[in-house]
Amino acid sequence: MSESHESFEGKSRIENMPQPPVDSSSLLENGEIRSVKELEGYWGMHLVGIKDGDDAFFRPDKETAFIFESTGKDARRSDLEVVAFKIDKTLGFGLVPPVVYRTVNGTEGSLQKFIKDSPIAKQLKWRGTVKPEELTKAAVFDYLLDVKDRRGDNFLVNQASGKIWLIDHDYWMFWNEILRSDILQETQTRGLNHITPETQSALERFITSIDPLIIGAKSEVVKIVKKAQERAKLILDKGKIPS
Amino acid sequence: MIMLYFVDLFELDHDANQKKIATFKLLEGEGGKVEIEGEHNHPVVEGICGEGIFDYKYARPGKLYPYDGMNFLENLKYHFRSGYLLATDVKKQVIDN
Repeated sequence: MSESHESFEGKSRIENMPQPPVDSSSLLENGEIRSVKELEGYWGMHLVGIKDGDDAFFRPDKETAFIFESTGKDARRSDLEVVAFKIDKTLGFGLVPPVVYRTVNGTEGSLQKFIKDSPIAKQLKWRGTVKPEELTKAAVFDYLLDVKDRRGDNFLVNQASGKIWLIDHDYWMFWNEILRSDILQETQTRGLNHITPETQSALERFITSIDPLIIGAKSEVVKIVKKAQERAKLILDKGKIPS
Repeated sequence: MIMLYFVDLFELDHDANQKKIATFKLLEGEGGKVEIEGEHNHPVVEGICGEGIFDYKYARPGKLYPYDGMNFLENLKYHFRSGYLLATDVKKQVIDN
């Protein structure tokens, strides 16, 4: 009886010990793939199961290559997805689900964590659900990257916490001039475009930290990062997201 | 014989299972309006029918609605491309009349 009790307590102590943080990007990059399921739909996407990790979306570059080639853009979808994540990481906003370059079944593309607990914003009344500070951070991000196609189908919202996840950083997000960011528009409408001291620090850090993002990068990626740097300076000058 | 053109729309649930939420159908010679079969009240279906979708294919200004027929159908796959929601390409089926 006593032995059993000690054993139970011992197990409890182990479970309560601080565990090292799980690095999602590292798991996505190097984790053992345990399943690959093709998804119905046009873009040849797959849902990939990672051992000891979460499910992830695999988006093959070859399926969207024709768009970049026909418009003369020196980039792939994976380059755009990854640079958006890296910019978000540099800012420390935590808005973009981790995404990495990965080859799956011999095909190059990007692998992005599937966020299970946050539905597509269009499925909710997202304007009343998102936290105002999340909205402002997301608007800063959208302004920096000059994103176009941020509709209720291109971001996720956690209903319980009001947290935002930004997705779909692809060709149309950057280069379709007829589109716009609903997040940026909502932020301006509600007067939430003034930056906090935390956002100011994040922008200052980003401005001085772009070298790792552009070294060896494709020319379109370099343009996106440098434009973001210029826009970060503009926000800092004005103390708010310009309209 | 008449031709039916259609697009299926899928969503991924919390358990990572894909579910078809609607089929958008265009029947040749029926006035060019897309009919919807499936979850009419789904917020995503209501959204695209009520608010319209952009013309990604030709980057023309304005929005497309089910009454725009084939242009609307052809743009659904560009509108849904995240994996959380995905649309098929336009598929064809011959119908005997």
